Amino acid sequence: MNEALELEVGHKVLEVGAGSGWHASTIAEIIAPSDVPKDKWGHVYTIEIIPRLANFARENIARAGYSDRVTVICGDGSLGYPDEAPYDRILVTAAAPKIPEPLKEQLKPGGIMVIPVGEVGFYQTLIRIRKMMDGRIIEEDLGGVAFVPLVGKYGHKIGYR
Amino acid sequence: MSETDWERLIYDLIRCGILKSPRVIRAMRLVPRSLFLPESQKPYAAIDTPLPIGEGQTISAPQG
Repeated sequence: MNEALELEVGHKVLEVGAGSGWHASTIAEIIAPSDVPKDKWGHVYTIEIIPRLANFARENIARAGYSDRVTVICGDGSLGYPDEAPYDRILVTAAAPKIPEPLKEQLKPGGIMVIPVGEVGFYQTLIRIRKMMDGRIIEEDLGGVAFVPLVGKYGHKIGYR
Repeated sequence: MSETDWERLIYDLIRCGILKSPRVIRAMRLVPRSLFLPESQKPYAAIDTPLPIGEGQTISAPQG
């Protein structure tokens, strides 16, 4: 996913689904590298709907040394995170039934979103979206993937277990 | 998992064309997946598959 996102130093990134915090930390090392001055750094906002995992991610991120570049928020990521919008890049680490409208809205013109779309329990399609400067959305199919389902308002109507 | 196992996996992912850009590769080297796994899953950190992290959720496969 990190290659598909075309990440650059200084980007503001939204991740939906923090999980362990690993993916967010690898992104942090790309958009806010340890060997680049801090005033050039971007930031990762990552949302996790399961409270125990949000804490697990926070602890892991702190231990790995990325707390200053990654913020973990416990909440419904299918709604995005309007407080810090718009974002240069958005990635969704769970499969959505369709692309949540709030995420499209929170993407900057010129921005890229990568999201798996498809049914629960099957393979899904990884979709890359580019938002053009005039607001048009261009979708590209990046192939088959298998993710846990996205839950929440714009997610699949199931529990997360 | 040893550091060498993680290095070997990264090398494989580069050879298969999955990891390409220098910054993405550098981040994989600097942020090993084992740091983010529950104790019971740490031995499998360098295997290219998602792993359970509790609550029915998974950590991404390194190729993800």
